[in-house]
Amino acid sequence: MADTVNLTDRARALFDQVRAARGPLTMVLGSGCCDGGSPFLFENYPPPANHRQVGELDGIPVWVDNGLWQGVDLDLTIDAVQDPASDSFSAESELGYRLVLI
Amino acid sequence: MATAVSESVKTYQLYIDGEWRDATSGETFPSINPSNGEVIANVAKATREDTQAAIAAARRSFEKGEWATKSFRARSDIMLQAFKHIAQVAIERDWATIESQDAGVTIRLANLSHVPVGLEHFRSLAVQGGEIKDYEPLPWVDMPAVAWNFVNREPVGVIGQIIPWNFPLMMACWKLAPALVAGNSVILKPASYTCLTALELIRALDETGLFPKGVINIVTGPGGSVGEELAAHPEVDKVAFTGSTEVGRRIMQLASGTVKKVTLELGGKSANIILPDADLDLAIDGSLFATFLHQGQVCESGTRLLVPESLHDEVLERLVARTREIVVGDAADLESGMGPLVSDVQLQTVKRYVEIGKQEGARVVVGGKQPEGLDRGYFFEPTIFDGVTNDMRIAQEEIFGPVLSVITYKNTGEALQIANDSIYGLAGGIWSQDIPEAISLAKRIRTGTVWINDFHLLNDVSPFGGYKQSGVGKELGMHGLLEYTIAKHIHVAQSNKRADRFIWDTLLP
Repeated sequence: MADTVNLTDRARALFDQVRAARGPLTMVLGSGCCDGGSPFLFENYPPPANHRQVGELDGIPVWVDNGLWQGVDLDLTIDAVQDPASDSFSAESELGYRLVLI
Repeated sequence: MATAVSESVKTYQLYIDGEWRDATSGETFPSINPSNGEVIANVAKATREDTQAAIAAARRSFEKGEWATKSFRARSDIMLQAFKHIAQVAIERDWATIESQDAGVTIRLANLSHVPVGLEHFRSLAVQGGEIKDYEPLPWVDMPAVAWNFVNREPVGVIGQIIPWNFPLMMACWKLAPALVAGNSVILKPASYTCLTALELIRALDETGLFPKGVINIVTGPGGSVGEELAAHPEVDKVAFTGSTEVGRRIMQLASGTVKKVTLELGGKSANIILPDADLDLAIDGSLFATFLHQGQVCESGTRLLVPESLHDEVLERLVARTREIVVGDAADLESGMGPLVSDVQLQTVKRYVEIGKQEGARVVVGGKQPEGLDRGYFFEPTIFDGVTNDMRIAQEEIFGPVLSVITYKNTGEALQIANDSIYGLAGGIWSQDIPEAISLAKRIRTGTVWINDFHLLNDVSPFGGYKQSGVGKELGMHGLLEYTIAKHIHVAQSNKRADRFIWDTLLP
């Protein structure tokens, strides 16, 4: 098995909106606290140390923390939900949405 | 779960440069009661421009120096004067009920902890800040010539403060009180789900008229715009953040542009170790308190319970029996020991992790689902997984909900190894009747706090802050206060003789 990453149609549509408003994007999977357990879409973000790439979505690389998911094959599906009050620093929060794992 | 907004729902504005104002976009967002999905207030949705205005106001006030140049003692006295008003309106305006409705904190917990403890921390940090010396003498130096050296203790400057939704008022107090007593100008961004008590606190501070305009600002709005602006803006000198590890990492990156100071309180997956000689009457209830307090939405929760193999069956049986007695219900109900999770997003996250735990082969022994008859809010039953190994995702990832993973160990060495096998290092617990042995073990756990025979007890004089990916820096107590200051070294030469400056001769002929 290997890592897989998928996007729902809703999330894909949101990606296009975010891309129009932002520079080069990177996706990182978060964990820990408050809004940790969700994907984060960051602009101009260098991949952090000890992370591995688990895939690419619409040209956007997806990274996860290898300290947390070493030896774990991740099967991720990323969706978007409306959330006018999202505190995630993820780029879509400005548009009133939040990316979530389903 | 949309609900019609009643006419009586209050709308909160932004507080920038000593004035309440709408967001420049005119937009607001609703604050939802997670017990029933109803809108309880609307809150201004700040834009990047609003945030920039708040930063500019803070910068102006800091440069003007009305607040920044007062002594620690003088600022402390003013804050204690303000505190009298705060403590009064906290009761008159029933902040405990607001906190309970806004954040899903049970009214029992809001009345006993969230509000009174938060306010006591504000008061105590103001008092402790008054003890900070404006000048600290340093040893005289006599090489190459006699000189007098001292530290001038100064504020850092403009501080962006970003707080989470689990302890809204307490986090606002932990951030504002030390920053203000140290003479900084602040921009506070509360968590969008739970802005109300922080807004009420700022309202009360404003009403005192004791703070120069621009010293205190509050902007409410999304992390992706307001938060990012605070973390990246060149006129912000420091960012203080409590929240997720991933956002903490992002803040460090954004802050690096102008090398801002940062303090970060991030995630955790704390081990709670029952030693073979533990008093189980304490350890059982204590371990449930460690995990299920505020529905498990606490960063330092003891979410990994480490149990010796010899005690496994007894501990598990007693844990399950006590867990079944926990009452889950509307946060406003005095009978409720647990309220709802803060949001539907959080509820879905917890449900997803429970499924991951099952797929990994761990066994749900109690809970694991939404309680029956509570379909209007975001409730989840207190849940215990047995048969967990530390490499499972439910043992490594922070769920931030009412989910306990029980892990057995063979000997204390293995317990220590499991406890430290985490990317996090926030806190931990040890249950034992042998205090010297427990202290010896506590020293070897790589976390910022270890409780022996108790849990969750952070206090106003003890530093709190994580090792590893749980954060940078400390909050609370003198350690936390000094994070909001900079030690400036001033050297005053005491000799008038050119000859004493012989080191200059290495350059000059």
